[in-house]
Amino acid sequence: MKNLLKVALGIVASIGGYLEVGSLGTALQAGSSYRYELLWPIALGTICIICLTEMSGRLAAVDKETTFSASREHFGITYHFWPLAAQVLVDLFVLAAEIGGASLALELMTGISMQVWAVPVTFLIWVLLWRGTFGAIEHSVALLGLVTLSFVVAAKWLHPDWTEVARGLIPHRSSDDPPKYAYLAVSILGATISPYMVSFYSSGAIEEQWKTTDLGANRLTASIGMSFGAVVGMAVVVVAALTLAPRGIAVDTYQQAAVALSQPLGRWGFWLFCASLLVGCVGAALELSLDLAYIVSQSFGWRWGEDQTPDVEARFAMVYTGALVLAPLPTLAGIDPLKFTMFSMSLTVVALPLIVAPLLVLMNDRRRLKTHVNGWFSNTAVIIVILIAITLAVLAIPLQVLGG
Amino acid sequence: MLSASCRQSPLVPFRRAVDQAASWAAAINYAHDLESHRAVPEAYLKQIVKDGSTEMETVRHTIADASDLPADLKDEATALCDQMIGVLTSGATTNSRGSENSENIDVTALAEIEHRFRDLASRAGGR
Repeated sequence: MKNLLKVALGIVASIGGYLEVGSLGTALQAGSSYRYELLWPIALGTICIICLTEMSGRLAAVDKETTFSASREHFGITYHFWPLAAQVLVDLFVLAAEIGGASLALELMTGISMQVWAVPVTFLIWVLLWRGTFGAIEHSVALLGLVTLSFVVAAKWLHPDWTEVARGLIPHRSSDDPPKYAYLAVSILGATISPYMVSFYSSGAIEEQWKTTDLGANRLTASIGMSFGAVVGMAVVVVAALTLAPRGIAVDTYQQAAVALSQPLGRWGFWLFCASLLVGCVGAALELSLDLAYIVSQSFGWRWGEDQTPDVEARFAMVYTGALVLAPLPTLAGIDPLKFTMFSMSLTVVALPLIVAPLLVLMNDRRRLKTHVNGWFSNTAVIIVILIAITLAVLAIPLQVLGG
Repeated sequence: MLSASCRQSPLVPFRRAVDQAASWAAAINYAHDLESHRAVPEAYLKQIVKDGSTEMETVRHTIADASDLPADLKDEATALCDQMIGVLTSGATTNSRGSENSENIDVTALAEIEHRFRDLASRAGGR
């Protein structure tokens, strides 16, 4: 019963936590510009992230180590510095994009400039981290995040042609502006295979003291939870394809996209869109701030954990505090959140191989995982993920030049 | 790939910029329609009109500064941008109470400008 509850909460957390500034922004652009043609990167990215999170959860449950602490121990600081530096940079950029997204949601709701909201939003996130526990943050984000299900309701209401939707799940080339199409595909993959999700998931598993008996729950949470999350992401594509594309609106900013839910949900649509953007971004900003503190503390062997008070783990609290001082700067400078998000997604893709590759070695270490090391299926999956990550990293910058 | 990016036809970014302009016209028209049915707040309409004007200025500068575009396309695009900026700024004039009123936007003119932008983009795509 306890395990069932854990799985249910994990699934709710995945649904509620899936949609954030990156996945929402890329999905809106994809649907409004290419209708269902870019559903396949969401599906492919979801398969990749399921494999990665399942492995990081397994490592935490069996070895009682997170991916970052195990990598630091296994490879030494000289190598480990590079994945750490890459993920710190990526997390900071994505955190800044989330704060921009949340501030913009408030601007849409109130008409008051997002620059005015940047500091209060950041302060709210900091207070929640300072005062809250891991469980409280995880579950409140998950429950509030269920507002994003409004996209699923809207997609169902719009009665899409399901055969055409299914066709979008098969990878193919587009004849209309191929560089832009490829750039969007790469950005969607960058938003879906978020490295912070992997390290945050394994840190969360340690916070919740997972044991070997939780491996079944880990598998279910990773696979079913992420799949439900992906359904929300795909619903955004479908909604944008059916409400924005037919009107000739190709989303370039969140302001243009704010009316995506208005046709199916009427007066509620605008407010539900803003609420989804706000909750999704605040939730992801909480997770990213925590992830930054987790990976830095784990890499330097500091005491860490959100359930302890800041006076017990001063350095852990200092890391997220420092990150939150830097993160609102792009919003304060007036940089458009969607453009900043797209840049952050490209940066994520460039850093991805460096962050993912150590997992292949760690997950085959019998001293750590004993009988729970990767089998041929998991190894094949992680090799494919690494190959995809390398390909994307090579393509990301030229595609940003050509299609961005 | 990087060298390929240097060889990209100037008509590709031009077409994207023109599509972007048409998309803004469509978005503002839709927002206006929704606002008239009270489906979005007035503050949102004002904001999207303001953002649209700013984006159109950027698009206009991008097109005007491009040195390797056919002159006819460039002139037509910048003229359309000017027209759209004119429609948006005249629509956002101050009313008698001293606040901006975006309800005055000439949506018919905006729809016509969008149509001409689309036509221009398809002609640029055909070259």
